[in-house]
Amino acid sequence: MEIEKDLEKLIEEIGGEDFQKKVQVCYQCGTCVGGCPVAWVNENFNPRKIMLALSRGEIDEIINNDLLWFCCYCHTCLERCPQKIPVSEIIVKLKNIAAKVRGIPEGYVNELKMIAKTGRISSISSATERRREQLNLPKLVQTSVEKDIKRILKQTGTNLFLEKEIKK
Amino acid sequence: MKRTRATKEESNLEKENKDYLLFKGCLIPSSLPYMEVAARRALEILEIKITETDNFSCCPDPIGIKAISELTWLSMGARNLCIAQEIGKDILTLCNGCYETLKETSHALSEDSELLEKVNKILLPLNRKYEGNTIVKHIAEVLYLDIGTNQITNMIKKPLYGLKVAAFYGCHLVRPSDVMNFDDPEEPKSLDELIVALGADSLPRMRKMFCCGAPLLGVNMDLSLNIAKENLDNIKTSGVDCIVTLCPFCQTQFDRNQKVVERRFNKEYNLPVFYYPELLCLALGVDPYQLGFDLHIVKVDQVLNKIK
Ligand code: SF4
Ligand code: SF4
Repeated sequence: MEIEKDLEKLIEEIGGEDFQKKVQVCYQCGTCVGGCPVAWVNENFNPRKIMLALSRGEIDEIINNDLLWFCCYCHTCLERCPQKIPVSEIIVKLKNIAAKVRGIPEGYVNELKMIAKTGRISSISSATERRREQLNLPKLVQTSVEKDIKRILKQTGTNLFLEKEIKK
Repeated sequence: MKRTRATKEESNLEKENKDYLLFKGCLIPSSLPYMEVAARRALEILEIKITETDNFSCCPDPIGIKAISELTWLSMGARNLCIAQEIGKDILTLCNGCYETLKETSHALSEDSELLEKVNKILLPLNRKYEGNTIVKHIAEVLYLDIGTNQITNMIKKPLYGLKVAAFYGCHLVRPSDVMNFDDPEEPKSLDELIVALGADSLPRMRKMFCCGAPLLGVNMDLSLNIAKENLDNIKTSGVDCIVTLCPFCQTQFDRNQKVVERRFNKEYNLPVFYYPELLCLALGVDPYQLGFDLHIVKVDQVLNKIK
């Protein structure tokens, strides 16, 4: 339930006046593309085009294109945009929508699974323990962090989302 | 410099109370313990006290988790900030990712009371309530502003004269600059100055503030390695002996994945990669055998021999 409500709100936000005001000032100068490390190595990825599509309300086209996930969130575009458009932050919102409508890259499913299970993104193996001991590092105490995290995931609808992703 | 940094006056005030709550993060304690060793030793020698807790979760990751759900990302971040609030200390992070997540969460929830209320509703079943304004610092920030480069230079026992270094800041140490507000987002100087403080040289290069590419490892391996290669090419061309990082993701990308890039693109870089506190420890006279250098993938002997 939460997921659908969330999605509606997000789409409303992106299509809404405040947001569109921010996007409409984009004059397609391409400064964001010039500094983008992903565009540098893959010419198909283009934040300027994402902004253009967004200003035309073509949200479906953006989220149906897997290239959206290529943004590595380095914020160079946000820093350089002469119109002060927070490009990277806008792309995150679009990813939030794409996640709910179409799902997420497999790497992120695994990361989320790990977080739901342990509250962290890496586990403590016996090899880790040994290495830490050799280096005179304090023992890592396993607390029940994951109980809190499970509650948060439940409250934000992310646990249901994860279940759906795992079943795919 | 476009942005103002914390002034020296402010950092002097803090000098009396250098006691931070250590946020170890996920990756360092489990996969890169040598980074933790160096950070702990350096802080100890520079007399920065740390308090610890086992109750932190993943920060969480500002790229993957935030892309899935901003609200989940904020709520998990806020839970961690609540723990710092309960203990009553500022947070010290060892990782750019943790730094961005926790600092941005603190910033966002302090600016937007509606959002804070929303997040606190999510934290209610956890019996936690976030009040806002937790101070979050990166270890580089503590070294640069609390201790200062002069003090570091005064304390070193084995200057790293002649060592040529590529400073790799990593994106989230400085961007988004209106939130991080630590150093210039395009031409930062803190890490370069911290390197020079040890007697080493920090050399210029092309596209210095490029992303390391690590965030894309779980999305598209090719893309991630292509970005790593772009960086490694520019670093090699600049004529340095080694790379210095401030983040476990950059560290992994250049140390572990350097070999992968070499194989894939038929290249040879042979560039040892150090976490800044490791170099700092060497300059402070810590015995290299205590620092776990054998855990590095690219062997560091050539650098150790050079600075002997
Ligand atoms: S830099 Fe800003 S104004 Fe220029 S194309 Fe990109 S988003 Fe539009
Ligand atoms: S945040 Fe994304 S779109 Fe912006 S410069 Fe970085 S990779 Fe490119």
